[in-house]
Amino acid sequence: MTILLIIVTIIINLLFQSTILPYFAIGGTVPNTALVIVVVIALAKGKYYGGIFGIIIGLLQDILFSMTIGINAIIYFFIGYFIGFVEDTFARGNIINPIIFTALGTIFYAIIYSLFLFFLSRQITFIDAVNKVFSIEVIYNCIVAVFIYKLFQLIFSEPKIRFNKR
Amino acid sequence: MYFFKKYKERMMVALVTIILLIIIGNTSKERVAITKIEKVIGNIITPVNNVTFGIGRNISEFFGSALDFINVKEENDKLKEQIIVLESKNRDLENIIGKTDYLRNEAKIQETTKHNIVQAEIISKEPGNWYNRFLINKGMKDGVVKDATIIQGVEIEQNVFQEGIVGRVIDVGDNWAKVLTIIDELNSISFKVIRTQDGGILSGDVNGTLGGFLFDNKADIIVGDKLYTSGIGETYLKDIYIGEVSEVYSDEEELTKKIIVTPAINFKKIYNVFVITK
Repeated sequence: MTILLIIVTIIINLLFQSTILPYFAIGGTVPNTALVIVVVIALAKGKYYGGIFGIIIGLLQDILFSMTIGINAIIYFFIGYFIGFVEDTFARGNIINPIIFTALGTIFYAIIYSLFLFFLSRQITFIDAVNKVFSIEVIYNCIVAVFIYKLFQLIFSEPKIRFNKR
Repeated sequence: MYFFKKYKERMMVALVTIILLIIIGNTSKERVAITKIEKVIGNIITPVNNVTFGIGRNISEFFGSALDFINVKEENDKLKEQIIVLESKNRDLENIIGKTDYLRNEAKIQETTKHNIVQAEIISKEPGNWYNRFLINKGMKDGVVKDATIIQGVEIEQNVFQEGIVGRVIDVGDNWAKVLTIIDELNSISFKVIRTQDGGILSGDVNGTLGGFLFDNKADIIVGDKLYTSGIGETYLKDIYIGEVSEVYSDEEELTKKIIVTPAINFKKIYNVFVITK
């Protein structure tokens, strides 16, 4: 059931992000919903779901839109996997967690992406990279993260009936 | 075996990373043909994208007009309904006028062009803020080939219409094609100044501006000069309008004269383009 929901999420997000979202750009910046969903799923489901989901959504995005395949996949994979480690460490349902980890994830994404561009010998200066790392996208993603976290709490909530020994 | 069990998870992570790095390395160069998997996925998702992109446009138009309406109402609280009706009528008319301008550009370019052109619609844009690429709904079946030039009609002066360059095709499927715009960081384009015939090279960067340098560092170039493609390198066709020079500065260290160019096309607002077929 969870896997089915995740596949549906991937497809809907891909269509939504590439077709509808560009119309809601504020100042030319679009929030990266794929990254936010990877963070939220990793927080809710752990490192395995986070990592695999990251790879699939990253690969699809790369295959469809970019010539170099794998950069998004590798970044989303690491974000999902490492954020999955803190699955049970923090209190569940605390809204601060997804915000902090989304901010960290966005910064991580920008840094790794700049490094990849640099090592693939594309044109990127240090100032460009710094601008990308500390861009307004961090704030957008955090705002989007709140909504997506609330939505996923509804979708992925466990059934209330429990059969405890008590 | 104990070793394998203990480090199974780390080895999986390392393996995935290495595989992905190999894929990146193999695909980062210019490729001749797209892989079968890419083709299949593109063919499946293109029709769906077609529909959702249309929905997106309608939604954003709806929200745009709704916001307009609220603002007007707040400002003109005491005005009668008649004025609101008139204003909405006026808006409708302005909308029609705005569209005529754009449609006239399109019609003119179809009349005056020397090339064989195919009209195509943009069906989706690359998510994220790093690149400027999009997919169009015409592919191999309509005669689109790799490295075909993408243009759009622009009005340079009063009643002078020209082909303005948008970008080039980098991947083709059966019914879709991936387009790289000229303001993308991966793209380089050789230009000439129409007034003095000086040449040089332009390329985009990650911020979406178009900059470049001249071959001759003593060349005479001023703000407002018009640039055309020179056809050197055979990637882009000759004599297609690029844009106007908006800034000239010389780089003392590299002994070159650099320019920044305002493209003739507004890349934030394009929905239809033309593909030049051979």
